Amino acid sequence: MFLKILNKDLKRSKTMNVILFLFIILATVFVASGLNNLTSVLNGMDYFMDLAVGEKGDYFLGVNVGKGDSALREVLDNVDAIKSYDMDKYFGYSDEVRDNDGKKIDWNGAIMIQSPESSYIKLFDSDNNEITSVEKGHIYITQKFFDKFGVKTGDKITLKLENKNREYIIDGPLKDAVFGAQLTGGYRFFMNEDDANEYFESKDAEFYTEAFVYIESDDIEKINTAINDIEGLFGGYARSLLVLTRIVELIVAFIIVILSVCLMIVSFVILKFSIGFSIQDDFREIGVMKAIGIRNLKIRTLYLTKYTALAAAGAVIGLIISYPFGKMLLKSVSEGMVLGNSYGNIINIAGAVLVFAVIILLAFLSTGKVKKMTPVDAVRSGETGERFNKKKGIRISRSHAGNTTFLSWNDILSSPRRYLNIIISFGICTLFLLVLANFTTTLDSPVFADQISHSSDVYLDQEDVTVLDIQRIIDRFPDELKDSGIADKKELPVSFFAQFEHGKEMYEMYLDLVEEKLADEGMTAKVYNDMAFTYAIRSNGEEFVYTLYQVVGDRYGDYLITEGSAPQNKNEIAITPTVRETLGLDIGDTIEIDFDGVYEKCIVTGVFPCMNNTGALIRIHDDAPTTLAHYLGCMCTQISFTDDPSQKEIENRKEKIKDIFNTENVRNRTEETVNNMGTLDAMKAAELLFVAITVIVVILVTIMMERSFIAKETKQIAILKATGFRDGDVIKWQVKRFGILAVISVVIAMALSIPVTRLAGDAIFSVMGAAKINWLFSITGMAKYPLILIAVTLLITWITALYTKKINARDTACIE
Amino acid sequence: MATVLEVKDLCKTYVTDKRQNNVLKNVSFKVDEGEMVAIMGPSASGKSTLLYSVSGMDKATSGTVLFDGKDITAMKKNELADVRLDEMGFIFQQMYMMKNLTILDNILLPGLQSKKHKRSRKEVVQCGEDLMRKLGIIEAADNDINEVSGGQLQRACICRSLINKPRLLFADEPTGALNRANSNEVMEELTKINREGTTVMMVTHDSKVAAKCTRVLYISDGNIEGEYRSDVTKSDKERERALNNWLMDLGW
Repeated sequence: MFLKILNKDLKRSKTMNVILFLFIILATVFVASGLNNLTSVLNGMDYFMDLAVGEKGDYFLGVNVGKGDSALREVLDNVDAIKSYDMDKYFGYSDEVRDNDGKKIDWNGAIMIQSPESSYIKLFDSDNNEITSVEKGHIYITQKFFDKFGVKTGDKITLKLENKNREYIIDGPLKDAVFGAQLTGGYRFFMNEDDANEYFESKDAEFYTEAFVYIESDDIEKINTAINDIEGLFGGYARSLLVLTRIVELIVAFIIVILSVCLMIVSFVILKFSIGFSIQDDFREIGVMKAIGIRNLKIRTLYLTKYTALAAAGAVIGLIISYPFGKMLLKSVSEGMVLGNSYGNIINIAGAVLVFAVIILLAFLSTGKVKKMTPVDAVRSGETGERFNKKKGIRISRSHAGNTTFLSWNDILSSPRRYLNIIISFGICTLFLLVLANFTTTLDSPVFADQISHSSDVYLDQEDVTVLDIQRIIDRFPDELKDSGIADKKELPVSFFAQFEHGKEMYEMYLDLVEEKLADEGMTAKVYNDMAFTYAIRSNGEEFVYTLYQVVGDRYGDYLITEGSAPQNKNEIAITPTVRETLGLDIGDTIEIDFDGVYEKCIVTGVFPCMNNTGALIRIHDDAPTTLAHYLGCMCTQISFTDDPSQKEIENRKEKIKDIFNTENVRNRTEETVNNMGTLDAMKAAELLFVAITVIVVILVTIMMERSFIAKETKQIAILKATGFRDGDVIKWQVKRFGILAVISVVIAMALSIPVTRLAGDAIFSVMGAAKINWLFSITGMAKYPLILIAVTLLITWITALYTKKINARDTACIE
Repeated sequence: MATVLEVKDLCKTYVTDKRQNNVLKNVSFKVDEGEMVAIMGPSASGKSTLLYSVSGMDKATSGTVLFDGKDITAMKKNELADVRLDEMGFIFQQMYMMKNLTILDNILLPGLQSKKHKRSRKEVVQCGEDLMRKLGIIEAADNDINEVSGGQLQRACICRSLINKPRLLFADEPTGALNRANSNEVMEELTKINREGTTVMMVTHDSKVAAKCTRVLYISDGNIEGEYRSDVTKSDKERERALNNWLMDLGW
């Protein structure tokens, strides 16, 4: 008999059952894929790093080794803290790169040429397979090179070696655990061993061959102090630092995880509602069953059987869908990373089992109402006549709203708990979208400019130096520049000057020439470059190799300082919050910097935020005695106009500078910031994906809820029609009610979005070294998604409410 | 007296599981203004179907229903809704009301929906309160629908049906769910309303209730088998006895 009742129930409440079934599937998809993604992201970098470098992933060194590495090995072999190590040698390519159409690619950073045969690190293709060989004449390139410069698999790419072009076919993107991050400036060019050897055997090899050392150690602090003796050392990086360079990808990944969590919450809220609702809907059947003597337990068993069947079928289908869905969510992140976890399918299955268990639990709790129902419910349509609290609705006699508006508001105010599910579901979705939109708006602005470098109005890159009077530099340093070929160069990167003893003076003179040229063209400006150097420092009795930042060129003034003051003298420094934490320094403390054998005592005068090198750097005064022998990297030629031009004028000048220096690489502050942050595209892509998912969730929630309400309100709709309400009036009532709920949800979400953005954003970006972020809240950005969600809600409610046309006034006669 | 409702050759057929069920078979009758007509008949004879068909709540299969000279079977849904709102009132056996509204608000709802009398909100509220006062339930105005007795609720339904001053009041077993005392009270009210000029057409099983009507139509197997005109000059008991005799002759 139970089976018969069950069968009848499945047919009778077909719509509700189908909707509930869909939500079980949806919940399983979200929970299973969400849990898997959560694990993959939390373990993400460790998993990837372990795959790539195995146990030798505790500390990393970058060393310029020329043709021999014996000196380096000798030092490493004698450091007790190093349990084992391995190294890759690569050719640091610095010449031109041309794309498929022969167009020059304006890359900056470092290109590392190496081959699989001589690599310790494992690099992976887009299908996460290790690249063990590359065909001659072919090449794999780091994923971000594809993103930044638009090259495609199958394209031809041309490099230049000793003035001869070398062409390679791109076999695809590679995933690089060490240099693949958006925040790092390195691109790995992975090619056939014979092809790579051409570079290693070239005359430039001695200058450009570098080694990257992978170290296994239990005591990286000791390594840090022991490596100062290594000649040519340009960097030492702890594993945690390399993990932090992935923060951009991880931010997107965490956003996906948060979305998954939001979707899980929404799913459970909806499931709770629908299970409770459908059981409440069956009061008549339950009353009849009780009237004929069926016990509570048996009635509960009947409903539990139904929900078990639905949950089991839904969980299995949801589990199957969760795999491609999870992969789709993580796609934007996993393009450059091998994301995964060692648990495999178990997590998805655990997610599905969790949903199944929650449904059974919710069903069990909801069927508890069976105890309260009596046979009278069958007679009195579920209403016992008892009421202990007066309804909190409004009075039409005192209202000035139209009937349909009044009915909508009155419903919500009378039974707020009933509508809370919708407000929570819509609110969570909207809040998430708004926070994401605020992130995107801020990232698409110059807000982070001060957090990256000493910001300027215009950033000039790869300028044509033939327009400058370079002869003046030659005249001043004739001996050093005698055989340099400087007069024939079209571009003069900092790395060119770095090879000379007076390179810094030459470079400063070069920046003066740029400044003069701009002044000649009517643009008075200070021209400088915010540059990074590596120097040994001594702090609290320990020595470290550290990155120091210094403005080189025309001194500009104060930097963004969050505490204390900017360095005013050459023995003053500012530190980041990261340095304060890792070196245990504070304002007033002193460190010693080894300026080529002379230890300068420097006092900390201020704290500044900086996202470069994930905050592990110190800013030194403009006059500090640095040399380009310690040069690590830089921004580009930075221009700050001194006549305070308008934004429009800056744009005009930007175009003019492009013409003067014959380069397209002239960026304003926003463009430079976006370019450096490297996360905007991923964020925008994630935002679009989430809009789509949210819209789908809103559609499903709306259909399900509205359909449930119609089922519950059939009697009332029929009575309205019997008393002369038109179909259109009933639809208006239904649509307005959802409209009000959607508006309430988005208003709450909008109000919460500002503090939540600040809270979440500050927390995320402070990990990277940022502080005092002035989050942007654009009206367009804030209004766009709420309006879309409200419009979608209204449209879907209207379409669903069209079903009320099928309810006739005559149905008053056949209402149960 | 003018004819309010004229039904000609009305047929209603339901198709269930490919089986045709002719519930009404060429039913014809007229209702004049000021009449109080009862429709009686055995169970499943088509009484309620007739009421819903002639009131436009249900669509007839064939035939015409002229309400005030206009054929409501040819009307569109919205026109029918307007007729129901402005010209007709309905009382059902079950006291259906909007759950989240108070008794007074339930009564006012169709009043505020109608544009017929061009009344202000205040006037509609006044009218609703007057009706409640008249039917003796004004003290329940702010009560929820499940805070009042069945009799009070049915009287509230009568108030709602009268809020737009309808020309024709339909009632489907208006006392069916009430006890004798409440039933008598409701019938008193309906009779009073009829005396004040509102035409009433009701379906009932109860000869005591039907005896208060001016005319009784007896329907059986989808056909009107007989028509009985009550002698209004006689007492209630005499009219009831006479009606019962007539019904017995028809096999009631």
